[in-house]
Amino acid sequence: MSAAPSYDAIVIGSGITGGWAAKELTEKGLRTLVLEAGRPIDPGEDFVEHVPTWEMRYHGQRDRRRQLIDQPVQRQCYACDEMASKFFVNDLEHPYTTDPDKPFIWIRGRQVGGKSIMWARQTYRWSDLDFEANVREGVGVDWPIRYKDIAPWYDYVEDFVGVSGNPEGLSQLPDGKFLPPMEMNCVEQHVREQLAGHFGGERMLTIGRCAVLTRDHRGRAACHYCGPCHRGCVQFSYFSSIGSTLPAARATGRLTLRPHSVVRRLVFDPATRRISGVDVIDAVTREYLEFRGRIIFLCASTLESTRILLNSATPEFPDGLANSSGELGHNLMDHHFEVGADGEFDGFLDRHPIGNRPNGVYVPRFRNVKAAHPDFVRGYGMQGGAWRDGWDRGNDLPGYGADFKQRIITPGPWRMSLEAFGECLPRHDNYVDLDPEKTDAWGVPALRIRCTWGDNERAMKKDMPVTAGEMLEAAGARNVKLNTNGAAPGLCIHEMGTARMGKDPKTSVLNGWNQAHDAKNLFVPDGASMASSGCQNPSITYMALTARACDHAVREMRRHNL
Amino acid sequence: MDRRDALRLLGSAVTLPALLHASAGRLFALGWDDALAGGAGTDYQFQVLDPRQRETVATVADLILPETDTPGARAARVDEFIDIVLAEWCDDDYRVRFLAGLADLDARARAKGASDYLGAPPADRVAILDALDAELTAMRESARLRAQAPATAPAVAATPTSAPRVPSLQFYYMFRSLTLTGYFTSEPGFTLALRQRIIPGRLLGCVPLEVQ
Repeated sequence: MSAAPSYDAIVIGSGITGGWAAKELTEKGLRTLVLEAGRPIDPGEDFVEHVPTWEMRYHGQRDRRRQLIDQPVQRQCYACDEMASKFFVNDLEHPYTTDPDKPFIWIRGRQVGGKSIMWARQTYRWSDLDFEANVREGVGVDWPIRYKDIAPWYDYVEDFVGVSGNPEGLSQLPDGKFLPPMEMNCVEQHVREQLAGHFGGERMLTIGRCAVLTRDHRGRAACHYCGPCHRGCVQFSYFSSIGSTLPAARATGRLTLRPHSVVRRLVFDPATRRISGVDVIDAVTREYLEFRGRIIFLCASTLESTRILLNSATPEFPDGLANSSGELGHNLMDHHFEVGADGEFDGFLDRHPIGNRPNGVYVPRFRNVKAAHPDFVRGYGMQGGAWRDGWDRGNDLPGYGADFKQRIITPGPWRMSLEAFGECLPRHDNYVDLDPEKTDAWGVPALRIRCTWGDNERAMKKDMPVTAGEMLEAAGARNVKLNTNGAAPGLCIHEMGTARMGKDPKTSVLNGWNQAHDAKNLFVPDGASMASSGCQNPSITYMALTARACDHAVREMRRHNL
Repeated sequence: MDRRDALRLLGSAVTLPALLHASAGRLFALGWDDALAGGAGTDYQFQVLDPRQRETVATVADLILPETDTPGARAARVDEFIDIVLAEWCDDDYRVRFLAGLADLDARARAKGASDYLGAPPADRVAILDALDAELTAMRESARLRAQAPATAPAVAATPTSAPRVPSLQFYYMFRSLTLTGYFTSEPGFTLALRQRIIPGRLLGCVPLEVQ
């Protein structure tokens, strides 16, 4: 055991947060080992965004029969398509269990870059409306940080990432230093203008804020609007750890990246109260390995990070490492998804947009911002967009032949859809633990997930399609249809919580620096650390928390506190 | 130029305008052949459709999307796309329904005195398609009325051999849908009929249709 390779820092995971930890720690002088469970990615070979549909065996309609067998969960994600399905896990190798009547859709990517390859790139800051909500309402535990603590770190990571957007001066959705916004199309511009005169000025439409470059930025080229970002980007025009943070870490000469390294458990030394080692299975050779580091950054994704801690139980922590609070695995959240409205717009038939915009429009949260809603707390934002119907409307039109062909080649009527992303409250009874029987392909115990929407989410879900429909109608839409179905938890891929931050070690797993109360050299800056879910897409907040935690950890090391 | 050269060029903004004028399909398909399973190529071996069925499919598809100022469905090899879907993609009952529909085309032609659909004179082939199109329109209308009316009887699940009451399970609907998808995802359908590019190179929110 004394021969275990030793590093200043070990980062577990190479996705959104692991990439940031690698960059920050190596740039601050630490020799850093990044352990990635999945395979290496070579952008020149693996990124497939420009493959035309006629070069695909199923013309972009996916390898349906295979996916029904080995990706029955992952195929539910829009991005798990014919070209990008290789970036999503094989469900047979990566099982998890739920109660049959309580589905949870766990979408996962296991490769160097993690889900930063396929993420939807939407980038929205939190405000104190979010950080103060728990304590104001007596829900969960109070966040140990406020906007002023994280704001400089939003500035810091956004400057590196490159975020395009339009500053709107809204208190609930703070502006960043944006690259030029992408253009709205004809109907989106029309809706933005129309909304200005309705709803007492509470509701507005802005262009999506996204981590896609609208001009060359820090050595990366501006987007050329090919569209399918989730298949990769050979230009690195959108932010991914592959194209941004990992190259920066590599440039320091202090990065060691080890793919195919499945972390089984962390080894806790009760004498020093520190993590003394990381147990790894080589995914290819099945060899058992151990690595040592002075500090450990657990960045394996919300549920994978928690799974590793649950599987690292000791006599002192029988229910999972760093779990003296009993909160590890609890308070799982996701955002409401697939609830909204769409409608048709007259006019603008002589105009169209050019380019496949990798971004939509955004309605910032308006519920419980100024006035309290009688039925629920918190709120929701909306994402959507307008488009002209294409050739596929021909399926529902009569006729055939030359006239029919010309009719469906011509762009059809304008349509717009708005879809709400709703905040989910932290509840102790939404939790994960280890399945007593099932393991993954490497023998690591599988997660058992129990997650349902609660009363507040159900009340909010009634409101979301109604307000989406109201906004479309106020802007002049016809044939407005409400979508009230909603997705099962998980499908929004904003799973958060299960190792929450807090001020009190008795009720939280991590402190205000994403540092485990029970093991000072362990940091968990990914989605597991979230004490509430906001309604904003969370990745930029994870990035800011990670950079902030790295800064703190290195300062503590220099003060010999770590 | 191999694929890696093309990728390097892409990373350089100055060369982009030059690339935009090349055929996206040809340029960016460079070197893909080994990396991908590949769409149906010129050497595609049909797996489900026999030569007569294949010719029937190509003939009907070309009536639905004929050659105009842009190529038609036959030239876009929609028959190959349909064969792949039937062989490797769809459920068994979908394939059974589709092949029964092809046989029904022949039966309708025989009722008009021909040996089979391909043996029927062009006017009769069109008449058969007109009839199918009218039947689909009628089915859509009755499905719409049923959806509006209160439920009076439990819905009966369609089987592969029963006459479907759901428009999307009707052979003609399936055939037309496969034809549209196969055509507009083909190189001529995408680049010539829709005049789309893999890399538009710019984003404009609201411009006249004439601007491409």
